Amino acid sequence: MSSHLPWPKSRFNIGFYLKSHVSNFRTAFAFFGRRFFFSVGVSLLLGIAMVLPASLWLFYKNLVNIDQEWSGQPGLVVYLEIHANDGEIKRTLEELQSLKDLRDLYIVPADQALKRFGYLTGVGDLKELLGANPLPFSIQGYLANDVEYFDYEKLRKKIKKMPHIDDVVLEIEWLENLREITGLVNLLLIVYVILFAIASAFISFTSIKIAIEDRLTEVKILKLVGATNAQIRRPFLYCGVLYGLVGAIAGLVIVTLTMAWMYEPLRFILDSNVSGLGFFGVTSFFVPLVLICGASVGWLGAIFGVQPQMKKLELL
Amino acid sequence: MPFWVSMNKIRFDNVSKAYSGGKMALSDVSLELVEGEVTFLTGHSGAGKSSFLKLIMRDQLASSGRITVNGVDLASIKERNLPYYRRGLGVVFQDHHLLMDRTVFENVAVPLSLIGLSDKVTARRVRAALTIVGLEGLSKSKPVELSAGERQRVGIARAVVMRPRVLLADEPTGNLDPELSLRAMELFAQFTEIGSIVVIASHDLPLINQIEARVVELKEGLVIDDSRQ
Repeated sequence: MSSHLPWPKSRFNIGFYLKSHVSNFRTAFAFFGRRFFFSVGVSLLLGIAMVLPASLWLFYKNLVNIDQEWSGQPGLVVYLEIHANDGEIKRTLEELQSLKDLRDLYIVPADQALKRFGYLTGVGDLKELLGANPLPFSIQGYLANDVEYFDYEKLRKKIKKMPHIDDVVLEIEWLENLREITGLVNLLLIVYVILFAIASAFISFTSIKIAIEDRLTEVKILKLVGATNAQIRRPFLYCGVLYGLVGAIAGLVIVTLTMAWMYEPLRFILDSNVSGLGFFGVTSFFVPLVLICGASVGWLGAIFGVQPQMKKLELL
Repeated sequence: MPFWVSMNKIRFDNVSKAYSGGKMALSDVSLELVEGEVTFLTGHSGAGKSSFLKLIMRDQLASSGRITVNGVDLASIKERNLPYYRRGLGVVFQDHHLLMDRTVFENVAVPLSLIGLSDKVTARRVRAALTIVGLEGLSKSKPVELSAGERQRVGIARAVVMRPRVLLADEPTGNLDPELSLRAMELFAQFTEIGSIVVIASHDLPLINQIEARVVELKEGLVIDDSRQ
């Protein structure tokens, strides 16, 4: 006989342990069904709380997607010296074409540049206005896909040192802005995920407390007849998981409908600027991620709701 | 300890229990309860009967003194092991505390659901417990369909289905008529035959006088009489 108990303790049985988990899940499911409107209300609250961080995460992934798609294609403009002749321009083009860091290079004649400038500013024929063309020839193109962001400045300085080149401009300002925005969204995402987790855990915590109060007699009877704390709290933990799962499904539906509604306008904007850019939507990775997050937060809230109750529970 | 040696014994050694506010529920109680014996705890309300039972259930700890069950000090049982201790107890209350949304069978089976018995064994033991209390035909009924006496008997069946080593009853006949009360007491007494310690808190003296048992009288937490009848 154990020296710590007046009579022998029952042995651990893995088969019974697994069977009791199944039974507890069924009990939780039955409770969910018995209090259907309440349970759906709780799950909907969890789902709505989840929508903001989930949408923000999708937005963030799309920003990263854009960043990655475009980051291999920043353009550059090489301004030649104003008095460079045709031969010098051609040699400069050949020299630039020999660099593996650049691609799709072409010459933009000074006249063409002035015409385009006049068109963009709405002034019209500037040559007539100015008498002479102040703009130089330029060579435009793109950086190669394998050029790293951190090498841009080094490359720019290298090209600028070449003969007959006045200035080199890399079209990365928008890219830097995009990176700033992505960084900000990332930070917001972390904040909202933490807030969502706290809010959802609190919703689950409160709901489980209500569930325990609702079944207090049963809990006290179980405690009286020798149920362990794990056996008592298990159905409530499964209840929390169910709330979280159903909430996650509700959140996914809301996010999917929102993304579907936004898809066409976004597609139009993206196609206007970058062709063939993928749109990161609700994917086979995103769905289980949300479901796992929802279930985890529901479980966490349930744990916090159940544990203090177990401690202060008196027998009948 | 050899299996043939008497196993079940509860011993109170100078046990006192005080609640906050200084009220002494029990004062320096020393006695021994052994298996095969029915013990009635008598006394007016507030005498300490329920506190006595709560100490045995380990729902409360003694303020001083020592309570041992089969040589094990109850105060030394860790919180995580309390459920395993309580599985050796059967408790009956005046208010039966049944689960109203479950059938009689499911109510009685609650303790068995905790220990991993097969469905077949569970069903057999529940039927046996219901037969003992005379409710074998009502296993599919819900408590709301039963009379007060029948509900009390379901409570008794739930308490005995685990074949408890210690059977505790706190005013179990409060809601029963005299005939049913006597039957319930006789039922409790039967459990001494399988080696259980039976302790019944009751202030129903006429009923107690009809049963051959040990009677411990409490008054303001003190044992003022301890005799057999």
